[in-house]
Formats: sequence, C-alpha cells, structure tokens
Amino acid sequence: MDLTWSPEDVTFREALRAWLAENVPAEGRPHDPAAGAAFDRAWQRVLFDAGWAGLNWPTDYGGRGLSILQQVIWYEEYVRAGGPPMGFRFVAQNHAGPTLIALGTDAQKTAHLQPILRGDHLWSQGFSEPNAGSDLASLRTRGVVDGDDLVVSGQKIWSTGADHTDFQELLVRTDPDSSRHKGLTWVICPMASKGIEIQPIRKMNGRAEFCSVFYDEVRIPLSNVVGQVNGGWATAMATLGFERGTSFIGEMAEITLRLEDLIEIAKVNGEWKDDEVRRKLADRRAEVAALRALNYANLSRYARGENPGAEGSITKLLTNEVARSVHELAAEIIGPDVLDGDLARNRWGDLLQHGMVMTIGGGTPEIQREIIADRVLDLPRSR
Amino acid sequence: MDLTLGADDAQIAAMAADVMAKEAPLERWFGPGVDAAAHEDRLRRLAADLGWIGFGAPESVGGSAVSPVEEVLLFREIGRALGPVSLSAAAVAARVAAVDAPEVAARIVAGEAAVGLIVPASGGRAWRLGAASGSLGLAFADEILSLVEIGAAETGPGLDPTVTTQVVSRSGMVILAEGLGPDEGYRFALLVAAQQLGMAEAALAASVAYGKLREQFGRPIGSFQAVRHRCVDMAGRCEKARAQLFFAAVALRDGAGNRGFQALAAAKVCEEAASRNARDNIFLHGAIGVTAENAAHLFLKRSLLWREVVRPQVVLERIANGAGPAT
Repeated sequence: MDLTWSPEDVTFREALRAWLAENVPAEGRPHDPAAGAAFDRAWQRVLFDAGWAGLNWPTDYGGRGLSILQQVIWYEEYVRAGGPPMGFRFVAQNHAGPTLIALGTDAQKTAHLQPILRGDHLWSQGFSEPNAGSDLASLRTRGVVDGDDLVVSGQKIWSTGADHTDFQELLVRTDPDSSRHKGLTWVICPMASKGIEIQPIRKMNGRAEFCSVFYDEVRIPLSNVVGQVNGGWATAMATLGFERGTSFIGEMAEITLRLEDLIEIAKVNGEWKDDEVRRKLADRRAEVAALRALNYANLSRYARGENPGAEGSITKLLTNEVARSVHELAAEIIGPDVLDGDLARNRWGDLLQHGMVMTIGGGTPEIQREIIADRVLDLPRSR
Repeated sequence: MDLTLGADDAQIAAMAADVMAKEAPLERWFGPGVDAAAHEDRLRRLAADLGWIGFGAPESVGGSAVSPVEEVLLFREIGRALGPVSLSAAAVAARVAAVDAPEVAARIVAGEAAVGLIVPASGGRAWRLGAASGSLGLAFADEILSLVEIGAAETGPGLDPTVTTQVVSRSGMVILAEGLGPDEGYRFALLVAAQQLGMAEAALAASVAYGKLREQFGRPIGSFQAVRHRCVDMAGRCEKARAQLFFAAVALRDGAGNRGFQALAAAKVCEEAASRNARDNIFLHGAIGVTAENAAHLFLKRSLLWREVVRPQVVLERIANGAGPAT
C-alpha cells in the first residue's frame, strides 16, 4: 500500500492545474436550460481544442486514454479549480460515447464520436418510463421493425435536457411477447425526428431540466440500433462500467471543499462555539475522509485490472448519505438564511435540493440496498 | 497511489485469522466454567511466541519493528475473535518503554509481564482491564501514553465477562515510562480502531449468516427487506471503516503531514462501525440475540469498553481543533 503519486502523475497534475487556472470560465454554468445547453457546447469545444476531451476514451477514438488514477487527478483538480458541472454533456461523454466505442458500427462511430468530443452533439437518456422506474426492465415503449426502420411509440420520462439535446439513447421493447430484460433494443434517436413531443418537468429547484418525451410512430433507421435488435439490455449494461469507477470522485472532492467552507462559516457566525455543532462538523470531516479513502481503495483495484462491480452501489449510497448530511448540517448552521432564494447569497438551499436529486438519480437508496444485499452480501432474494 | 493489500500484507492477515480461528473461537465463551483470566494468560503467551506482542516494537527489546500497516492487519483479526484487550496494551507499552525501561519492555514482548488497559473511573479510581496477573498498565490521555505500575488492586466483576476487571487507585500508580510523541498515540488509536473494525465485520458476518439460516413466515429472514437493508447499512460502515483504517495506517507509516487527522478519522469511523453493528446484530438475532448463549452481547460489551478507551467526544474535539484533512 502506498499513498504517493508517481512523478508522471505529479507532472500531469501540475500541467492540468495550470491550464485550469487559465481557462475555467469566471461565470458559472447558467441555470436556464437553453443557456445551459449553449454553455455546455461551448465549454466542451474549449476542452476539445485544448486536448482535454474524452479523458476515459481510447486514443484511437480521439480520447485521452488516461489511466484511472489520472482521471482521479482530473476530477480532483477540476473541482478544486471550480470547473463547470457536466450539465447536459454527461450522457454523451459518459454514456453514449463509450457505448458506441464498445458496440457501435463503424458508421455510427464516424457519425457521432467526433461531434460528441467537439461539443457539437449533446445527448439525453431515454430509459425510464412512468411505470418503469426502479423496475426498468418492465419498460413498455414499443419499437416495431418496418422495412429499414424501427417505428417507436410510447413515453419516456426523467430525460434530462431532452428538449436541448440532439440525440437520445433510447431503450424500447421490440419483441412484444418478451418480458423483463429480453426483447429490448438500444437505438440512437435523433431528437429532430417527426412524431416526438417533449414536455419539460420542473424539478424541486424550479429548473425545467427533466422532460417527458412522447413518441408517436417515430421512424428511426434500423442502422441506428447499437448492438442487436432484442439485445438492448446487454448494450445498456455495457455502458455502465465506463463510469462506475470514477463517477463519485468529483462529487467527493466537491463535498470536501463545501464542508471546509461550512466550517469557516460556522467559525464566523458563532455556531462553532456550540459543542454539538462543532462535533457534528468534525464527524462529517471523518466521514468525508473515509469516503475518499474508500474511493481510492476501489480505484486502486480497478487500476490493477479488476472490473467495477456492485460495490459501486455501496459507494453511491454512502456518497449520497454523506453529501446530504453535510447539506442538512449547513441548513442548521446558517439558520434562517437557508430560506433565502437568491442563489448568489444562499447556495446551501440549492445544494440541499441537489443532494436529493443526486440521491434518486441512478437508482433510489432502497434499490441500491437491494443490489448490495443480492450481489455483495449474497442474502436470499426478496423478490 | 495504491491501496490494495500486497501479498505480504494478505499473508499476515490470513495467518493471524487462522491462529485466532483455531486458538480463540467465539465458542470459548460458552459452556460451563468460562475463565477469562485463563484465556488471557494462554493467549498472551501464544501471542508472544508468535512474535505478535513485539510485532511493532524495536528489535532492541526483542521486537520486529514492523510498520503500523502490518500491525493493524494483525489486530483486526484479534478484534474479530474478541481476543484479549491486553495484547494491544502490551504492544504499545513495549514501544513506550523501549527507551526508558528496556528490561520491562523485553519482558512485555516475551509475554512474561501482562499489561492491562488503565481507564479512569469515578471517585479517583481506575479500571485495569484485561490483565489479571502482574501490575503493569497502559494509561493514556489524549496523545500521551504512559506505562504505569499499579498499587493495590481489587478484582471486581466487570461488565464484559470476557475481560478481567480490576479496580485500582489512580493516586497509587507510578509512571515507569512515557510515550515519545503524538505518533505513539495515533498508533495506539489505530490498534484500537483495527480491533473495532474486526468486531464490526464479525457482527456483519453473524447477521448475514443468521439471515440465511433463520426462517419465519416460511422464508429465510434475510429475504425480508427490513433485514436486508439493515445488513447493508452494517456493510457500509465496515467499508468506510476499513478504507479509512488502511489509509490512516499508511499515512502514519509514511509520516504524511495529515497523519494525525487521518488516524483520528479512522478512530471515529471504526468506533461507530463497532458500536452500531454490535447493536444491529442483536436486533437482527431477535430473542436469541439478548441471551448469553449467543455472542452478540459480547460485541456490544466490547464496543462499550473500547468507547471508553478512545472516546468519540475527545476524538471529535481533536478533529475539530486540528488542521483538518489538507495534506
């Protein structure tokens, strides 16, 4: 066991830190979805031009092919420098791109990978449905093969940024007699297609980032299917390994910084003198440190070639818990100021809501616990 | 940066686990005529023969001078088996005494002198825990450790039947040697934390095993979400505790600038894992969990003992007033 970084990693960190100091935009990502999407495209182009696009993508496809530890360094430095959040870039960069690299045809790769890296194409996700949330495999949006097209009818929901993105990774049921994981197909859906209607949904923070998407006999070329027709579950699962490993590093780095901010606030407003508050803050310091150590321990194993598994659910569960506990403590410490709706004066009210959104995104705590109970603890199945 | 266990590390852990499983199974606490003092004596001599007491002590007093990393791997296994609390007291006492009282240190390493844990009690008294024979004790206050000789001792019933308990007078203690700096205190905190981690993991394993075995409503209780999710929370505490303990041990070994913070953070999360998992394990066992026929109560009592040795309130104040996580 060893905590030191190699000379190459140290050099990488220094170069990265210098670049970020020069290039991170002073103004943050706009909260308005349309302005946010435009910002995302422009910022991704900046990253591309400077050679920072596709950190975890192989170099053959224009990525950086960074080692997992260098990706850790990237996220830590990026957060430290106040880099903009992923916003609507997330699905294209972390889901769709890696999926096409793993399973796409040459034509699909040519059409999409470079535009994704350049920020020309933003993507959204079309997986969840009103009646297929935690139980994703029960999804019912239909895809009927008709000549060279797949004709899609149905409804998706919780699709972040759908009304401002160019393509969607869409999971539909192509075998009407199938059930559960069988008979699904993963297809690239151009959002400009005829028959698509999008209705924004406002999140608790007031931002219309979620969408419902309705498909009325939308014709998508069969050549847009990634993987096999009726083999969509395997395609969907192939994506996840790319991001599981490092997906919590940025969030951990963020919480670490916010907690130290909060300690400074408590020292200024006098709450620090309260034994209970001070000890809670100290407890959060210990918790955050332990989560960071856990991330490093997991990443060390991935760096040695082990594949990320269900322990990612443990990390997600614990990361969400510690983030929320810091936000709740912040609300306690800043007191009535938490009621201020002005984001420039009160960021904690927004962070508290964001923590709730992050907890549900990617699977509720209860679903994570079920996954862990099954796959890590090997307990008897509940269903 | 690599936090995976090396082959040598894994071998130490496996060897220690084998010895404890064979020589100190939890079954030793059940049945007629349980004698904690006899187990303490036997296991202290065995540990000395295996080189465990002097594992981290200087070679000048018969030790092996290993780093805190190897030592926490050993003590995690001792904790898992609810091994004698005097072993960690002796391991640290041997280091504390190595310069000022080397003859005493050598006797401790050889298993000839038992070292109890001295825990302040009310009314000018103190407990001497885990060593029925001899007169040595390891006392600690924040980061200052000292090897003491006790005066008159009265053997009393202890809360934890697996730990011999004596009552001594605080004013009657004589200091033989004192710790050499805060790092010794951090090391002691990590040895305690390692035992707490082992306990937390043992409690989780017991709950999961019982969840598969015990049936109600015609199903194994481990198929009920209320049971499953409690087990998952126990596992989460183990994951955090293990990661932080190893991270802190490496930081202490390497003299990292934030090693004090890392050790205190490990003390906090390992304490919480041991205490809360011990309680959850009782609940998950139902009525059998509150009997003396099941080991669940022993993990509860040992967690109470360690919580008086490395007190969370003190640890949190030190974290609050220290430099924090920055390296």
